[in-house]
Amino acid sequence: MSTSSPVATSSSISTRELQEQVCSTFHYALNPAGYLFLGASETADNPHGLFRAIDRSMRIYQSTAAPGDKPRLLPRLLGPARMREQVIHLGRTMNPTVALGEAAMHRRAIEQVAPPSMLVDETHRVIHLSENAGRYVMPSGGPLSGDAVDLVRPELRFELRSALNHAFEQQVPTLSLPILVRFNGAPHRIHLLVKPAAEGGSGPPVVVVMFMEGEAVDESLLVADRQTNDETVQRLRREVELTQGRLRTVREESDAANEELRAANEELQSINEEHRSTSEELETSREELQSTNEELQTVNSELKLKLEAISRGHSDLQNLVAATDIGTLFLDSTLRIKLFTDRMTELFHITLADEGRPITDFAHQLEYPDLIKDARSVLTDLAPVRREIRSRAGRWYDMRVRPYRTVDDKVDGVVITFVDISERHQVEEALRESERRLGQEQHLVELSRDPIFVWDFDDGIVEWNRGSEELYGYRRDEALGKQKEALLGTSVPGSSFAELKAKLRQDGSWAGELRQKTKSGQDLTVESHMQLESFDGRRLVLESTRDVTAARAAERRLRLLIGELTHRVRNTLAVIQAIARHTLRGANSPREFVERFEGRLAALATAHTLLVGSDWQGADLGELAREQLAPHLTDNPNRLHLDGDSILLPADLATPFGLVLHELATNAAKYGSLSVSNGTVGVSWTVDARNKPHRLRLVWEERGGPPPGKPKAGGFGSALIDSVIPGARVEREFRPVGFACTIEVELPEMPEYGVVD
Amino acid sequence: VTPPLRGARLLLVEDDALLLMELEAILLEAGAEIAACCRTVRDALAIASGDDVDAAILDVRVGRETIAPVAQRLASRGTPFIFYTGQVEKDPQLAEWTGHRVLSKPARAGAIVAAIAEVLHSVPCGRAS
Repeated sequence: MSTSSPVATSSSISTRELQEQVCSTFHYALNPAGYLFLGASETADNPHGLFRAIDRSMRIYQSTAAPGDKPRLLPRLLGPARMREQVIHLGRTMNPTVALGEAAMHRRAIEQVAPPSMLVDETHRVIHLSENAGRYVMPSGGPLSGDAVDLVRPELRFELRSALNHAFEQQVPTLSLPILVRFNGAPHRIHLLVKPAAEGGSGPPVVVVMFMEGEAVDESLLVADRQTNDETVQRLRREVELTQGRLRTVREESDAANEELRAANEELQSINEEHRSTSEELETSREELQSTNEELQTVNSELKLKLEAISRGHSDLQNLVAATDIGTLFLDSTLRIKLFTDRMTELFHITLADEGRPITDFAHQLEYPDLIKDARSVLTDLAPVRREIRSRAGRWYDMRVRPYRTVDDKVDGVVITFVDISERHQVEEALRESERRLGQEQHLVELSRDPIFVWDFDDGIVEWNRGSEELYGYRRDEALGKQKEALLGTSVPGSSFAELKAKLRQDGSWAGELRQKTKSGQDLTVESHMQLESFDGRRLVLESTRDVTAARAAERRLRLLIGELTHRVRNTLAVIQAIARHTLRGANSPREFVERFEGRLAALATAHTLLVGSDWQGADLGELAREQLAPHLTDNPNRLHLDGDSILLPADLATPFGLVLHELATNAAKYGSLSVSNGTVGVSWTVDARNKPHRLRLVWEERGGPPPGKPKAGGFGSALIDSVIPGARVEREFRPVGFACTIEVELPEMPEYGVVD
Repeated sequence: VTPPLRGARLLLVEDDALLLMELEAILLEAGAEIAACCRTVRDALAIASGDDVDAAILDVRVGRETIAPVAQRLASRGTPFIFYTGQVEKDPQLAEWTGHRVLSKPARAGAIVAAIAEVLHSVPCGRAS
């Protein structure tokens, strides 16, 4: 709607002018009877007559231009030419030379012949003036108005207004009485014909006002008339003149009042407009207020939600603090109390009223002098501190000091928490104690000289003590993880290791004898005790063993010894029986039998005594000879000469040798060198050790006795000497110097006891 | 009175000379003939392998050896024998010979003779002819 630099060329703009120009522009732009929609603060009332209000409150207007109207000129915006002037000149823009023809000729004729006229709409605005109507137009002072009443000569106004009203209201034409109007000082009689001219029934009603003019009235004629009229007429005329004068006065007053009313109306209109714009502004404000209010309401509900969340959070926090049962103390950066939980009252003598006071003012129940120091160090270093501390009541607390961080990550004090860990501490103490004890016990087991070890029922050895190391020769690191039965070559006498394990699983324990091997390959017999225990899903076997190898060997030896002893006793008894029988056969008298039997029994006993004295190792040959000869050497032991290395005769030779030496001595005492007082006996022996078995050669030589005579054959004594020593070669010689006997026999290897059989 | 063992030829195995002499005397007295008196297992095995023996009296332990080879030889030939031993009854060496008579030393002469007579007569095809 703006043209180029409209402001630059104007010295002043009134909003009224602008509004009028804009409305004119709208009117120009709209189709005839088109609609104009305006904002709440605008109106299209100015300039008057362009728009008709359809709905004033909604600001809907309709253009007053009818179809077929000549378009008005577009007003020059804010130009020097005033729009109103152009409106006035609208009529002149018509081209009179259009529409020739008879109808046009007729119309022109009418225009020329017909009285001057003008077309008025229902708002009394002049729409159109005929060409010669100018002499009837005399606008009053003030702003130019398009109102027909204001436009015509003042003498006509009163009549015209009532006639227009009459015409528009009742659609009835009116012909006024002659009105005296002075043109150039000459009065003329004018009749006003006001006639409604509905254009086919459609469109707005219009009225044609015609000015019908009579001839100029001669005043003198008028005066002559007056003079010539009769008295009554004179009087009526005077009354009429008087009335007309009054009427004029009234009319003038009315005009003045009308003027005032118009001014007032103008003012009211402007006030009204102001009101309207104010109202519109108020409306706008109200809308703004409403939207602000809505925003506020939204903000308010958000705030309410936040408040609820905070309230819920607060109660959650309260419940959390109450439920956790953890002593918590919040201190600000100057170590003043900000907040604390109930549990803290056990440790500090503080009450709710103490919030805000420095914590350093309060004594506490903790054996912890560094509390304040730690809190300060946390404030400066921001590194949390954690300690286990004890209260004077003997309870233990896990204390943590952490920096208090606000939501925007600023450190504003410290949070100290105390968790009661007394029970945990006790349990830990007990655990430590039991671990210590266990360690000691384990150490003692380690040190034990008894072999104790643990093996996994399904796996290898897991424990191996010193006793095991000593017995089996495997070091701990050699034994751990090895299969026990493989490492120790375990065998179960009369059973198998698999059976042993089955029994162990069934009974939970096993005891018995096992054969095992040491690292060096030595066979062991051990008495083993096994206990199967389950720990954490592992089946562990605690096994302790006792080396009974030596004991078992000793038992076996003892059994053999008893058997051997029985055997010997029975043999000896059988020998005694045989000696008795043989002695009886050779005895001439009971006295001789007793003497000989006693001698032989003594010889057996002597050999036996020597064997027992040597722990059955054997009998010393020299001793044996001395003992057998002793009864015959009571006067002089020097009659016996012994010569030979010390030699032990094994048991199975000692007894026969004893018997043989006894028979030789008895014979010597009866018949040989010992039968005289100065005879001697020499017993000498040598061992030939060049070959195995060694050979023993013993020589018995008698000297100084009577010359020996041949003994009687078949005597038991001689048979005994010849044959009683097993495997011996015996040679008897009856030399003139004395009897001699040489015995040669193989010496068996010295047998170990218990290996004899 | 007919001697109880008349004509029976016996093998005696005993390492102790005195006992051997005594056994010989007892058995000779009972009318037996002595096929051999052996003091070693080796000698006894030689005699036991011959056909000259009707029955035997065996010591269990001969010197340092056991009589088992001789007993086996005799058993394989069907020659009856008895043990005359100082060993205890539960001697494991006697375990395999449970069917044979064991005389414990010292035994009376009559018991020895009766035992020999018994084994001689219990043999189905006795050699005592």
